[in-house]
Amino acid sequence: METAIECRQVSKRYPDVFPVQSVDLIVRKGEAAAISGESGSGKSTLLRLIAGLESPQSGQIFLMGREWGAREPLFCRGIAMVFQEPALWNHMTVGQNIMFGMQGKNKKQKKEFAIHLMEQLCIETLWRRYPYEISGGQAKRVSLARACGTERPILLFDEPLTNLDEESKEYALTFLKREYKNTHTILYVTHTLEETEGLCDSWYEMNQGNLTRRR
Amino acid sequence: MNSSNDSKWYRGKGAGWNLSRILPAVGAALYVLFLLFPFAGFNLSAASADDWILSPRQTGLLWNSILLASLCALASCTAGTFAAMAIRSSRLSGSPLRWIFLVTVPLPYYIYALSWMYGIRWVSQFNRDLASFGYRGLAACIVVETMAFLPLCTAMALFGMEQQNRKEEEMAFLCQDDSLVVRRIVLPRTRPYRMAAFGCVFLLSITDYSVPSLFQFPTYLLEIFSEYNRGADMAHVAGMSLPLVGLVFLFLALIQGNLRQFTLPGPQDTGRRWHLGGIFRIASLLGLLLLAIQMILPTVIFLLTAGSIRVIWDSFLLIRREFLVSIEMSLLAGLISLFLSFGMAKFLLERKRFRFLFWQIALFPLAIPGPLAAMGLLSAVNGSPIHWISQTIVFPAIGMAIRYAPFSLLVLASGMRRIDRAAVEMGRLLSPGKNKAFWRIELAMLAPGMAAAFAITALLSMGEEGIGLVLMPAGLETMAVKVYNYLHYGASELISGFSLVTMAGTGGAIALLLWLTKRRKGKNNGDSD
Repeated sequence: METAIECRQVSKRYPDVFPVQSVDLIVRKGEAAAISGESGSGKSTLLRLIAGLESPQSGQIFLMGREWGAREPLFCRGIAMVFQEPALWNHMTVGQNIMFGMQGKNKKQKKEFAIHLMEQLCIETLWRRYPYEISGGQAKRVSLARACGTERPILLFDEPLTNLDEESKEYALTFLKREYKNTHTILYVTHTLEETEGLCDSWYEMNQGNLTRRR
Repeated sequence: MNSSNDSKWYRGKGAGWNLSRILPAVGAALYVLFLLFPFAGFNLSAASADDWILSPRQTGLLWNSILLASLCALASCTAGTFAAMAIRSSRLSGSPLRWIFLVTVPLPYYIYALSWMYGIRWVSQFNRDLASFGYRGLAACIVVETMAFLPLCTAMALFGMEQQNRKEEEMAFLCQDDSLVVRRIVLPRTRPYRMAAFGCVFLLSITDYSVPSLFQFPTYLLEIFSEYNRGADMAHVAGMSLPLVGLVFLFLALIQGNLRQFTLPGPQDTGRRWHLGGIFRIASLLGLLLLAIQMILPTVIFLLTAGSIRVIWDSFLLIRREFLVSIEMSLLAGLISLFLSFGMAKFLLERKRFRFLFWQIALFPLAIPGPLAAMGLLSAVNGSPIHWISQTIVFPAIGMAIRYAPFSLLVLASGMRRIDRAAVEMGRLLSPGKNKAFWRIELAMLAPGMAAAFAITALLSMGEEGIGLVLMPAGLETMAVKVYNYLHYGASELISGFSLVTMAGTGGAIALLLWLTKRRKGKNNGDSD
């Protein structure tokens, strides 16, 4: 099966900390992998390196078999991501936030698809609201809808369900399992492995910059 | 697995130009080019050592300049800090009206000088002893410049106070008395802002000659301008200016860090009103009183001196053309400055090495007095293939932009530092096209900073008269230049009328800006929890 994400001896160092140390990772197309670890173990940094938001000091990162340079545009990599913080655009409505990354659709189609995603996540009433008018949990669900709305083949999730109540978590996980399992490649960073049950096929643990496969 | 859906990704480098890389590079290059352009007219190679080696007399003049600038910077920053504390302790805290004092920021300094002179003259009608009161010399300059710069210092101190982390501040207020919290936590944390204010006032004062000339206080810059008016060649004038420029350049190096730390307040809640006691309460009320006098006194004095509505109306009719010219020139200056400083700000914020050096170069125009840069620009353009530009309104606008672009740069850089990095990264990541994120996310989020950068150059240009005197094309005058010229005719009623029209014009511009940039819809995410 084709490899979607491959990291070969990837390292990233800052002046006082070494968050990613010679990491090897292979995620096949359609596979969902969970990464757990303590705070500060380097999970988020690894995701940022894969997304191209930062450049590794050494090693190589391949997406769908192709190596990507630091200067190449991010939007071409086929990656959508959910950060730990919602990072919504305050000058746009919730609806505009979700539609922003959509491609290959006219305005009507974009709106329909956005509303469909919002209904799946029970946030359809927020269409015209601005990010500063919604709660943190709602903002998290909007950021999830925004990432999924891009229909990109690789999804990177950095603790996407924090700040969500149990019911909302259930909705979100059911949505991800139904719509994206086996059809998209997922890398899911979490503190709570239980929430990845039924979604993720493999499990890695990050410890002081080193990645180890557990399952 | 839908592999045909996958094929639209991984296309490669992406077609088209990357505007978020190109525009900053072009703007930064143009910034440096514009910055260096006046030097082409200085002809420094022809300057001799006699030009820049100071005689004892010139040393005394330079010392006068430093003394005046230092004392009025100290006085206006101190008063401004207390005035800001008073605002934070009053009902105005949190209200948009708390910025009302900004209406007087763009006024030329000599208008304050005039208002004080006319005020003393008017009062001396009732008290002859006052007629012999010497409104000349250093003391008079300090009083006038302190009052002229007071709104700027108050604004910068208030920015600093409103910038603080609200939760940390609240925790401190839960633990201790307000006055102690202000003394031990707020004031130390706002030190960079107050130092930046000190630096700005020092720079603006030492590069101004209008107030010293009105109050007959000899300064080094007056000497330079006198030499120029006597027909001295540019090499001699430029050589003479080297000690002043060098001194200010060194000063810039000292305060550069504080200037760079300056940040415009974000759209967060201004926090609870302070309840100050003791000496802080008295000092803050005194500061507020000075600020109120600064706003009210010129208005009252000019109204009294003008004498009638008829005179004010006649003044408006006489100055309306210059009013429009001033607006046109200042808007152009704002736009040019914005374009230049946008690229330079991005360039500077992306630097990881030699940041100090790059910033020092970028702030260098502040070390050159406006009229001097104007002289260099005029000399460079005359006789060149682009000499025709000196006959257009664009020419003085360029001169203003060169002078005030560093202020726009500081404001814009602070705006760029403030924007949510995660939101910008998300825009770049999710953008369906190469430049869509740049236009719709990055520029949109930068809009308030860009508006502020545009406004600061536009407003300061409206009150600038030194550059206008040198660069305005024949047949055109700005309001500031017209008022300055009428001073020589001694028509005090008309001058008062002109000054009132100028104040109304700049006040209207500020009011419009405050209305346009009212609290934007950008509270922190999750505030509604």
